[in-house]
Amino acid sequence: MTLETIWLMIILAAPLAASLVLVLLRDRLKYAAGWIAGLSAALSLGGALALLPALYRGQIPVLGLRWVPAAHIRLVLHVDWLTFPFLITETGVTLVAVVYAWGYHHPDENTPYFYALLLLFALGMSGTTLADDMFLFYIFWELMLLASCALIAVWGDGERRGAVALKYFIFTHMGSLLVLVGLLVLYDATGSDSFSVLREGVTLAPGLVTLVTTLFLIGFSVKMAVFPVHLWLPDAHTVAPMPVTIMLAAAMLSMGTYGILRFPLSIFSIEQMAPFAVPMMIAGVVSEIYGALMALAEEDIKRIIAYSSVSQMGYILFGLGTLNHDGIAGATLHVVYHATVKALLFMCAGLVIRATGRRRIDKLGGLGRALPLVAVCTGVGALAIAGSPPFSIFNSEWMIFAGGFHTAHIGLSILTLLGSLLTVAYALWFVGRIFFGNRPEGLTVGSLPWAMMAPTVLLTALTFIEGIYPAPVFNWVTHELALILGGI
Amino acid sequence: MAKILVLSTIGVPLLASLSLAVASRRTRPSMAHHVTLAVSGLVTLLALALLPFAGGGAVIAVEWFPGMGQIGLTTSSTGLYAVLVTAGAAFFALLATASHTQEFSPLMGALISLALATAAAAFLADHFLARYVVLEIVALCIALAILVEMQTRQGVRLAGGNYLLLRLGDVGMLTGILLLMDATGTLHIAPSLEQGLTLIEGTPLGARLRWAVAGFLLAVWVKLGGWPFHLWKRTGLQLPLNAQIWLYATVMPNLGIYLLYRVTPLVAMAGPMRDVILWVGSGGAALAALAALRHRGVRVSLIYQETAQAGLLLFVAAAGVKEAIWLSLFVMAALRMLLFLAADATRHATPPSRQRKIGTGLLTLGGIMLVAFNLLIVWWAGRTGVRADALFVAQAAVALTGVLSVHMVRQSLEDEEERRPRQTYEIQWPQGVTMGLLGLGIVGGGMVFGPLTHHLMTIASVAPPTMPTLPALLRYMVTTPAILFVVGVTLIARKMWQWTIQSPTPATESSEEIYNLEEGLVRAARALRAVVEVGMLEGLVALFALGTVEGARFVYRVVEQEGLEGLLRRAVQGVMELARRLRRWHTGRLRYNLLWIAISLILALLVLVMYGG
Repeated sequence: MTLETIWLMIILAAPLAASLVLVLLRDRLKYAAGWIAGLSAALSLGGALALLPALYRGQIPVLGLRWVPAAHIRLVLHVDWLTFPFLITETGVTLVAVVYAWGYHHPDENTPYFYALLLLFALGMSGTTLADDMFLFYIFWELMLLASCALIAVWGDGERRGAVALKYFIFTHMGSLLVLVGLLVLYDATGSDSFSVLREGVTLAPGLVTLVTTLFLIGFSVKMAVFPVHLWLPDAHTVAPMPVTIMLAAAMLSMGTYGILRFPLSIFSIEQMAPFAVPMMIAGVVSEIYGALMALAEEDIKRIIAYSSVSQMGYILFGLGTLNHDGIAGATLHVVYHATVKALLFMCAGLVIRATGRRRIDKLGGLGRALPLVAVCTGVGALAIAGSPPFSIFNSEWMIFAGGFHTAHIGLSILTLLGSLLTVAYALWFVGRIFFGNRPEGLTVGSLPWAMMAPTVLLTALTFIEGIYPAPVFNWVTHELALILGGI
Repeated sequence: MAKILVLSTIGVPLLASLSLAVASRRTRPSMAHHVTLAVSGLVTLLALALLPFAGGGAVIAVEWFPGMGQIGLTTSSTGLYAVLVTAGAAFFALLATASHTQEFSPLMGALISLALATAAAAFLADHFLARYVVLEIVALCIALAILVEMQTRQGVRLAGGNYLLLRLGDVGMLTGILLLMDATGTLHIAPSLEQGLTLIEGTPLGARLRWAVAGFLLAVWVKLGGWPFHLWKRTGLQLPLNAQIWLYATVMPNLGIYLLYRVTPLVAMAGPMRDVILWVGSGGAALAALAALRHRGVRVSLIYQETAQAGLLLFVAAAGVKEAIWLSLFVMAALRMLLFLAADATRHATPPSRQRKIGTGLLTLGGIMLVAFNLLIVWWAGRTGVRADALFVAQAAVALTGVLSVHMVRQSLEDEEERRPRQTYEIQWPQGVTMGLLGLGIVGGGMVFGPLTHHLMTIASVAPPTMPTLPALLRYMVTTPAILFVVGVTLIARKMWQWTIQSPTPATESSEEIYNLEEGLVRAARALRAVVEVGMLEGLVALFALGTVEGARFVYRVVEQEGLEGLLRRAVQGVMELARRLRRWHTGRLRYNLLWIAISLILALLVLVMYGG
């Protein structure tokens, strides 16, 4: 067992062990639960980062064991360049969400369960990206859903949390089933469940390629919450407790992108994917514009940011649909940057809600003087989501737009660019309405815990740093492209 | 040495901006003003010091964005002169207002310094990505300036509107950049434009590159505040004089002119699109000048004057007169400064005041020089053989800008009675000195216009244009039908107006009739404004905003709630109903009637026996 294999194990073992400890020693860990969860999340992130030198050396850390030999089921984990950006995003978001939860979540007797489920949710996401075989992939994929669903059902806001959790479960599970069918068809046709083997190239009948790709695209689009299969997202994001919302929006949505990159794009050739390019681009543009319009129409600050995710996933789908270097690199960059910015915006929304007790935008206003730091952080987040330089998302949008203009469909590319103006509109409207103007009558401002402020400020700084120094993340993504597109 | 100077040109204002922003609460307004003034002066000096190094390649190059090539700052001659003009304008704007610093916010100083640093970087950058990034930051500074002054909902609305409009221009610019990059494979400005020029005609990429030209021109049109994008410039009236003159009337238009200067060769090769651009430019100029005649405020009229100027520049660019665009960077910067300062002097000077008369005199001087310059550039455009109809409209627009100048001078004299006491104050020496310097500079520049133009063309490596003599220019003016037509109509209208007002014993009926005619003209002008400005433009904006929000709500209700949610709800209801019926059937028949089970088992047994047998 090499050092890399140990780090690989730690990424999953840390949250698993911590959640087990939290469940088993629930009565004694009411106050220490947050710290234990934070420590395990930090270990996961550390483990992921520790694998970076091996990847730069050209190694692919693998950990595998036979599980059901008769059915040829193996449990294999691996980290390659396609996995890495997603892994870092998920583990990083989990860490900041857990730290944010220290201030957000009031400890009670169920707190250990809360953190245990949060860690299982993170485990599901990390496992999904680390899995190198279909069986393990699907197990982690469903674990992610179950853990997040339980978090919404138990710790969600309002009376409707049960219904919302059910809706979330049904919707995303339908997507999961499509993915499962796709996986089974692929397994049946190729006889292999190993991603590494499948990536070497498979020969399928054209009809089967169309079927499998369609199943994957629709299935993963549900997870991405692209219009019109996004309906679970606004409710789930709004009702979920803020740390869970952060993980849902900033990390879990990226799983859909990962799925599209890992399956149809990695397995099939560009020629085989070509018929899907325009539909993907159109779906991306529609989702981008529709999500932005809905964000403009909404009045609940969490729902505004939630619809913004629908819009941002549209950019990503558009980038993937270009099927070229710039577009796909931009889409993957967008996943990483969107995670940072979306987590930041939700954290800011959480701070405003905590400070004022209000979440309707028409009941807020003039908070700039009372909450200057939150105003600056939200301003940075809003400018970043609007694609303004020098903040991170500008870089990924540049790549996505460049990818669009490398295709023959200039009209769609111009439409995407024009649609980005709607993003500017809702982002400015969001900040302007909350932090400027007169403060509404009766609006009081309470104090904010440091545990909620610290990660918010950290992400604000990260948004700026990622913007002015994009090279590291860009390099990861460039390595990934060789895996996906065979070096186009 | 050049590297240090270039770094300082950008770094010094950047540092000042950061310092002022961080220490904004502890910095006195006068101190902030002095710092900003000193910084703009220093950048002007640094640009001057860089001139001996002009024409060199990239002095600083970094790979910021992997795969996009080395992003460099160069000491190109045109870029350095553009920095010099822009920084000098900032210095003069701040110097002129040095006597009333109490209204200068430290945050405004930070924004001006940041815009100065980024504008300098934009002029010196040899890479489209870098230029786009810094232009976006300048746009942000312009929008934020409103928020510094007005932290109300109204301020947010104006700032947001400005930023959206400027971003629309940036959408155009990004379209242009990315299409050009796709065609040429590089983001370096000079090679990319050169290759674009060879590809735009006779290659399959030509059509795509024409889209790129359209994108660039949209960016230029928005930055220059061409009609109908002048709305963002009007909001500058809410700012202190120095911020308005520099941030709203100088820096962004200069960036627009410089961009237009770079893409003019592409514009001239844009095929059928060129005719559209000619018409948009000349028509936009005429419309803006006509709309300006309706306004009473000199500062508002000046904004429309700039809008008309934007149209003329676009027209001249479509005609392919690159040298006129380059020249206008210098001429317009000086004239804008003079006109705005003079207008402010006439607006605020305590009556009766000698300074007020000087202000009016300088306003007249600025107006004359502007008209002369416009005449010259349209004369140049005419010599390239542009479409006669578009040229006619452009010439009419030049005449209208002349009428507008007269209108402004008259307004500055007539407004005295309407001025409220609190709006007046003694014009202090800094403003007087600045206006004097600018006036002298403009007169001097006018006297040596030929050699000066020759020098500036040498800098830009452009062949000097044919320079008409003053009599030839005057002859052109008095023999151009469009100009004569506009002047004639204006004189008739003016005469009728005077006759109506001054006639000692006007026949009531006749007077009424003529008055009605005058009133009709005024009403027509107002109707034009109401239809075009308020009805169409502002109405369109309001309708668009309303339509967007209401449309979004409608779509939300129909698609989201009733459509998709409804579909889902109905599907769930259907499944639930089916489940309920099945349950009823199950509990009604099977639970209480085990016969069904027995029959099923017997049937199964029979099947097994039959097949097994």
